[in-house]
Amino acid sequence: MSELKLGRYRIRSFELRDVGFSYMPGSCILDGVTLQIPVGGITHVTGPSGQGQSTLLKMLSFLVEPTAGRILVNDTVASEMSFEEFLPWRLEIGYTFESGGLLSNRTLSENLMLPHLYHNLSDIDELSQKVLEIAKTFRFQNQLNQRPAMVSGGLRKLVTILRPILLRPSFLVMDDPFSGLDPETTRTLESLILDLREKNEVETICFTSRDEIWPKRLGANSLWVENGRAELRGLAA
Amino acid sequence: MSDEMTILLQQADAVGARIFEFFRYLGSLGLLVYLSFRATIFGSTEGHTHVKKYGLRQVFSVVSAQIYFTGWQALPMITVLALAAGGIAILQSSAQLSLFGGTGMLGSILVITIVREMGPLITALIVIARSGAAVASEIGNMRVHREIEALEVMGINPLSYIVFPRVAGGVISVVCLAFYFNAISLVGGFFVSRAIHDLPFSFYFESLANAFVIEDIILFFVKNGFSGLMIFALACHQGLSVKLSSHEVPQVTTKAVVHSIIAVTSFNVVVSVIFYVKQLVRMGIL
Repeated sequence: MSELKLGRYRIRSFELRDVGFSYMPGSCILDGVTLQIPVGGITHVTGPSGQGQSTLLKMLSFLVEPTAGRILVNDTVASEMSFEEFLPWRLEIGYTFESGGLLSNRTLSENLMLPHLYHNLSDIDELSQKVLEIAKTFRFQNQLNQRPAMVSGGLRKLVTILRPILLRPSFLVMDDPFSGLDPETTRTLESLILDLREKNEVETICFTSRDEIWPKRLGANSLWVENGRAELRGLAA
Repeated sequence: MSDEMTILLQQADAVGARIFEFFRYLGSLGLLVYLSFRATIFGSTEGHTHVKKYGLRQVFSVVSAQIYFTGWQALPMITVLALAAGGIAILQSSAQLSLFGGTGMLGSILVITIVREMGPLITALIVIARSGAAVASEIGNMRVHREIEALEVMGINPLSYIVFPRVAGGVISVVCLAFYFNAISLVGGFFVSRAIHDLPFSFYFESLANAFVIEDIILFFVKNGFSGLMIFALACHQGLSVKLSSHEVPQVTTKAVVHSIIAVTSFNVVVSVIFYVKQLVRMGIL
C-alpha cells in the first residue's frame, strides 16, 4: 500500500469501564461491564444466544455508544469523542457485519475501494490491482462490477469481510464471520487473516462465531457474555 | 380546582406540548442541515487538506448524481406541466381581458400567477413526489441494510456523504427546475396568446419585462431555495429515523411527503402574504 496520508493511531490499549447499554429503558443488554480487551490477542466473544455479544462487538467498533460508562482507547475516553476526533482510531478498527453492510448502489469493486478513495489512502491504479488480486484469490473477479443485489449472499458476506481487511486495521472486529461462507472460502479467509496476524498487520481480533473449532485453532481467549455481564475466561475450551 | 379548570389546563398543556414538539422538530432539522454542512466543509479530514480534497470529490460525485435524478430526470414532466400552466393561465385570463381590451396585462398575469406562485409550488410538489419520497425511502432502506453503519466504520461521516449531497443537490435542482418551469411556462403562454390574440413577440416580451420587479428575483430564490432545503432535509431526517425494521420505510416516506407538502405550502403562503402586504404599503393602500 502506498504512503498512508491520513494519520492513524495504533491501538495500544482498549478498556471498557463500567459500561452499560440498553436499546430501550428497562431492557438492559450490558450492565456495569469493566474489562480490558487483550490488545495483540484473539478474543472469542461467546455466551448463550441473545445476550449481547453482537452489541458488545458493535460497541468495540464504536457503532453503538454505551448508555452508561466509558470506553478508553490508549487511556483516552474515546466514547465521548466526536466523529472527527475519533477518526484516526476508527481507521484502525475494522468491523465486519454479520449481515448487510454493503452500499447497494455501488459495485463490489467500488464497495471495496470506497474508504481508500474517500480518505486518499491509496493510489487508484495500485488499489484496483490490489482489489483484483484479492478477488482472484477468492475467485469472484468476474463479479467485481456487479452490485450487491446481483450476487449471492455468501459473496456479499465475503466482501463485507474483505473491505476492512483491505484497510489493514490493527484491531479487527468480526461478527460471526464464517456463517454463510462455503468451506473453501472459509479456509482461504482464515489463512489470509492468520497471515496478516503473523505479519503483525492485524494485531487484535475480536469475533463471535457459532463454529467451535475456529476459536480453538486460533488459540483465542474466551470472553463470556451473559446476563449483562462480560468476563474473560482464558483460552477457548 | 374545578373539573372545568383541570380540563382547560390539560388542553392548554396538550397544545403547549405540541407547539414544543413542533419547534423541537424544526430544531432537529436545522441541526441536521448545519451538522451536515459543517462535517463536509470543515469536517472529517480536518488538517488533512489533501485528503479532504479526495473526500469532497466522493461527496460531490453524490451531489451530481442527486442533481441528475432530481433535476435532469424531472425535466420532461416539468416541461409538460409548465407548458400547460402557462397556456391555461393565458387561456383563462384572455376571456376576461378581451372584454376590457387589456391584453397588455398578460405579462402581469403570467408573472403573478406563474413566476411568483404556481412555479415554486408546482416545482416543489413534483420534486416532493419524485425525489423527496425516493430519498426518504432510499435512506430508510440504507438504515435497514446497515449501509449507514458501514459508512461509519469506514470513517465516512454519513452526514457529509448522505445528507449534505442530497440537501445541496436538492436545493440546486429545485432552483434550476423552477427557473426552467418559469421559462417554459412563459413560452407556453406566448404560443397561446399568439394563437388567441395574434400578439407579436415584441409586445409579449415588453409586457413581461414591464411586469417583472426586482423583488421577483428575491422571491424566486427565497421560495425555491427554502422548498429545496425543506424537502430534502425532511426526507433525510425521516429516512435516518428508521431504526432497523423495513416496515418503517413506507411510514417515514409518507411522513416525509406529507410534512414537505405542509412546509412548502405554508411557507409559500406566508411569503406571498408578506410580499403583497409590502406592496400594498408601498402603494399607500395600507
